[in-house]
Amino acid sequence: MFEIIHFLFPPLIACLSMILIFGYLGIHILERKIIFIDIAMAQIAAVGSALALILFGFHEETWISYAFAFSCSILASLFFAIAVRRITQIPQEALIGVIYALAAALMLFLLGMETGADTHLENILIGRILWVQWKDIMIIGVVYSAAGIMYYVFRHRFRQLSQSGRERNGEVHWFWDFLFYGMIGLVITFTVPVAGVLLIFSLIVIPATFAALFADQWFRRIVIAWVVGAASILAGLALSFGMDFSAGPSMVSVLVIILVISAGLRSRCKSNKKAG
Amino acid sequence: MWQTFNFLSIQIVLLFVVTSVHTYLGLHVIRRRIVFSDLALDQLAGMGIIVGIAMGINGGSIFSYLVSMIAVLIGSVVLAYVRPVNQRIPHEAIIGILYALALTGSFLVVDKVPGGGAYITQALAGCLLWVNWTLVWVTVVVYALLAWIHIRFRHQFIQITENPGTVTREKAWDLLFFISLGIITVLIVPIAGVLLAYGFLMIPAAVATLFTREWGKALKIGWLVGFITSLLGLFTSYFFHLPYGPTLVISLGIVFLAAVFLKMFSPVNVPG
Repeated sequence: MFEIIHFLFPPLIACLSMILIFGYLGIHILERKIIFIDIAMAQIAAVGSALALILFGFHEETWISYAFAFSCSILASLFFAIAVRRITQIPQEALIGVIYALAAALMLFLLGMETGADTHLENILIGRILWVQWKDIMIIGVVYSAAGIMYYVFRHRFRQLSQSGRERNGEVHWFWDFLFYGMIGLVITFTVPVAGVLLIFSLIVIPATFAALFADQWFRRIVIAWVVGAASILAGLALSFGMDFSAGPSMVSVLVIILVISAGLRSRCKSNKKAG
Repeated sequence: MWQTFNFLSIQIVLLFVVTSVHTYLGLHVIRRRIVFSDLALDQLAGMGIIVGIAMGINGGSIFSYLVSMIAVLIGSVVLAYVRPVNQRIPHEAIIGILYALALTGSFLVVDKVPGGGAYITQALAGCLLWVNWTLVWVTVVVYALLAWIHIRFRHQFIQITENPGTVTREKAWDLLFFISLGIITVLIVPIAGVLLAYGFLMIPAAVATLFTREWGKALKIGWLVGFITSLLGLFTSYFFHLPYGPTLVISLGIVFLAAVFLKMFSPVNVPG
C-alpha cells in the first residue's frame, strides 16, 4: 500500500498543480471560443523542442530545449494576436486550425529524421506523467506560480477581455491578447514534456465545459472546474494503476465519461423542467 | 525509370482528383465555420484503422475501410445532433472533445499492442504503400459521383451554407453534405494521413477565401493553389526522400502563411 502511494504521489501532485492553472485557463478559452488554440500552442512548443533536438542535439528538458520551445510559442502568440485582428476574411478557427495542422506536420517531419520517431511522438502526445520527477515538479511549480501571480494581478483585465468578445478588437491594444496567448504558451511549454499535448488539451477544455453546464458565475465556474478536474485526476490515476493503462489517456477517458454522463443528466433535467 | 513514372502518375492523378473535390467542400466548411469538425472526422477515420489493426484487420483492406466508415458515421451523427445545452458552451467544445477522444482512443487501443506507437504515426502521416491503380480508380469514380451530385444540386448546397434556414428539407441536404465529407475522409485518410487529409480540405479553400468571396473565383484560386503546391510537395518529397504526408502539409502551409502575411500587411484591408 505504502509503495503505491509512494509511486503515485509525484504524478498526483503534478496533476493537481496542473488543474489549478489549466482549470482557470479553460474558463477563459471557452469564453473566447478559441478551443483549439491550446492544442496548437502545445504542438508549436513541441516543434520548438524537436528543432532543438534535430539541429543541435539538445534533448527535451534541457534549458536550450525549453528556450527553443518557448521562443516558438512566443512567435506564435505574436502571430495569433495580430493575425486575428488583421485577417477578417476567414474565421479565426481556420487560422488556428491550419497552424495546428502545420505544426503537427512539422513535428512529424522533424522527428522522421531521428531514429525512434514513434517513441518521441508518443512522448509528446501522451507524456510520461507516471514517471514525473520531483525536479520536474519544482520547475512547473515555479512557472505556474509566476503565471498565477500574473493572472491574479491582471484578473479583472483578463476577465473583461475574454468576456467582451471579438467585437472589441478595435478598442483594445493587441498587446493584451499577446500577453494572454504568451502566458498560455509559457505554462504549456513547461508542461508538454511532462504531461503531453493530449492531457493538457483535455484538462483545459473538459473541466471548463463541465463547469459551464452547472454555473453561470465566473468564480463558481472556476471552483467547479478545479473540483471536477481533481476528482477525475484521482480516478484516472487509480484506473491507470489498477488496469495498467497509460496514465494520460486514462485520465482523459475519465474526464470525458464524467462530462458525458453529467451532460446527459443535465439535459434530461432541463427537458423535465420544461415539460413540468 | 518505369517504376518512377508509374508511381508519380498514380500520385498526380490522385492529387488532381483530391484537390478538385476537397477544395470545393473546404469552401463550404470555412463559410459554415465548422473548421474543426473535419479534423475530428479525419482523426476518427484514423482511429478506425487502428482499431481494425488491433482486431487483426490489415490496414488498406476492405474491412479496414469498413471500420473507419463506421467510426466516421458515428462521429457525423454526434456532430450533427449533439448540441450544447447552454450558450456558455461553444459547439467547438464538443468537436474538440470528440477529437481528443478519437486520439486518446487510438492510444488506449495500441497500448497493449507491441510496437503500437508506429500505427499512430502511420495514421497521422499516411502510408503511401497502400496506393495502387485499383484504389485510385475507386477514388476517381467515387469522387466523380460526389462531384456530379454537388454540381447537380449546387444551388441547394450553396443556399444552406450561405443562408441557413431558407431551404426546404434542410436537414436532408445537411446530412448529404456530411455524408460526402465522411466518404472523402474515409477514402483519403489511409493514404494521406489525418494531417494531410485535413490540409487538403482546409488550406487551398482558406487561401482562396482570403482573396475572394465569390464561389467561382474562389474555386479557381483554390484549385490552382492546391494542385500546384501539392505537386511541388510531391516532387520534393520524392526526390529528396522526405516523408510524403508531412512534406505536402508543410508546402501547403507555407503558401497559406505567405497569403496570410500578404493580407496582414497589405495596405488595403477591407473588413467583411
